[in-house]
Amino acid sequence: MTDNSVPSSQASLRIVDLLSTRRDEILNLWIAGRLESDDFRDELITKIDLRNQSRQIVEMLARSIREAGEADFEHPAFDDLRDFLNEISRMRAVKGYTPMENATYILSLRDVVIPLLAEEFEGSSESLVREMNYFTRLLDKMGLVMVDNYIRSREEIIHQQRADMMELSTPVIKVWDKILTLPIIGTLDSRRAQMMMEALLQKIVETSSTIAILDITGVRTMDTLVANHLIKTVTAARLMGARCILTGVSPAIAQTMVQLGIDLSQITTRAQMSDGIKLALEMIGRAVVSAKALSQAANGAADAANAAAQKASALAAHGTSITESNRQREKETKSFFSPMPPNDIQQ
Amino acid sequence: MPSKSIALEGERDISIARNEVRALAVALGFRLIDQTRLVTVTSELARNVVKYGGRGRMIAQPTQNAQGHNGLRLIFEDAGPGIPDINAAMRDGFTTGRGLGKGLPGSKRLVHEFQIESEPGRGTRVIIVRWT
Amino acid sequence: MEGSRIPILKVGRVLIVPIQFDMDDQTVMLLQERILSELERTGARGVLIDISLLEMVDSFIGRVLSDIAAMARIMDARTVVVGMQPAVAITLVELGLELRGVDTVLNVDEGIKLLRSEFGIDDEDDAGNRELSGLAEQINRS
Repeated sequence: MTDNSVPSSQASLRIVDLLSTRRDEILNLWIAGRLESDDFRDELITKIDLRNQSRQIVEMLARSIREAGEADFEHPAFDDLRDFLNEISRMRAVKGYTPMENATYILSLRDVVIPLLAEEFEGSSESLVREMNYFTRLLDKMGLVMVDNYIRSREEIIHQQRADMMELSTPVIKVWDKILTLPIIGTLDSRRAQMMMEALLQKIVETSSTIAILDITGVRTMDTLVANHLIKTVTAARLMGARCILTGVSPAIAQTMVQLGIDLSQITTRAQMSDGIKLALEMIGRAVVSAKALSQAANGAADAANAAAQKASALAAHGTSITESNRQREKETKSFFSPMPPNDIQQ
Repeated sequence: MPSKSIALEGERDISIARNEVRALAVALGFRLIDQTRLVTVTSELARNVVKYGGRGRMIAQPTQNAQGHNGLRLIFEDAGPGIPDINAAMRDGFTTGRGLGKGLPGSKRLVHEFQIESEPGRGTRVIIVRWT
Repeated sequence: MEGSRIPILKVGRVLIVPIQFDMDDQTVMLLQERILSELERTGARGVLIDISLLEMVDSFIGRVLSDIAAMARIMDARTVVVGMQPAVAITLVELGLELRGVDTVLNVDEGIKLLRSEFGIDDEDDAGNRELSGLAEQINRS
């Protein structure tokens, strides 16, 4: 990037001189404009950072134009500047600027530079118009780069957040020995349903759970695709040896499912998750009872045990005679089954 | 990774094809569930070749899509009697021979791309792709 | 013959069949025959087929498992398929197979519990029961 490499016809661009010689003046005006505007948000960027960024843009712009002559923004001379804009734009996307604020930041440089350029040219209007048009064209492209990259960065962020959400949104919880629950909340798309199914089945193996409760209380809408994923999950779980219980089916979803012709007859359903848990406990041979009923049952059992003990001690008094009669009975039985005495066999 | 061609001429070759596809799927970074899908679909289609086509081959081509995702393309071809009515064969519940009718529609559900061409008397070719 | 390499263990009145490697079609068919002839020879009333090490079940193996269950039933024995892996189960469902008529359980323990409680198998054979529980423990530990 030496001066020798610059073709003579392009050396005449006044905009380059302007950006270099009156850099600080331009910066001051540009930043002042930004600070005054409604867009400036000091919670997002410090004045020092803004000034540093802006200075770099002006300097790079001067350098690139000098190198590119009047070539458009696609010229390789603008590569560094483009990279820098991408970087700024990504940072701004992360911080939560709007695309509009992003574009306005760059485009507002025009309002600062054009009057100064007119000043430089004084009378010679033809060259002024040419350079003005060129500079405007450049800034438009730069603004577009900012918006374009902003959108791409937002997409990346959304993608990342979605991945995070996925992990958060498949909480398979072990509620009891051999019983898992999967509360499903929000909108189910195919990808999420797939991930949920895999997470649940994996957890079934890890915890040796024989029952899984799928609760869809938090699911607002149900379509054929999601219903099919549910059926697929239930079937796969069955193949592995676990049973599923579907709970929290709202009236709206029940209606939709019937209207869509989805056959859920193979799936055990319960209205509330608590009913599901109760059923699951019954399936593994347990029951939920009230503490009162439990203590009554315990007392009943104690009474019965006492009664039995009394009976036993009463019987013990007659123990001898009972044993005696048993022996007698055994004797009779033996003689019945072996009519020949052992001695005869030996002979 | 280079393509591989495996002869499908007897029942034993079905196992060989499965092992080959498993190894490629692992090398290409497929998740366990996708490895299982690929190995299973290989088993289904390789068996079709051996049972109905008599002899044929499987070509396995590691590939990449525009987004840079790895994929595996598998081509099964035979010079057998062909399938007279492909649409019927692609319906669930269609059976030929000894109840392997689940083969084609089921196989299609295990992959992202499924293409079948058949000419009665000339043979059948099935091309499938699954992406990571 | 490769088919005879899959062991069939008789414990109490139950046959335990641990499948430990990828089987070719012939091995699968041979296994079916051997299970049925062992049922006849031993008078066993339950079959536990452990597929927890099997990395794939295609329509052929799926059909053979259903067939074994149906045939064993005619011989008055119940068949339980043990330990299908999640990836295998998902793939099987996508393939459109549900192994109708086959009972499935998570592990050998659950299998033995099912044979006892639902089908009343082995109730009258306490020595066999103890042996079976010991073996289930061993298999689960390994």
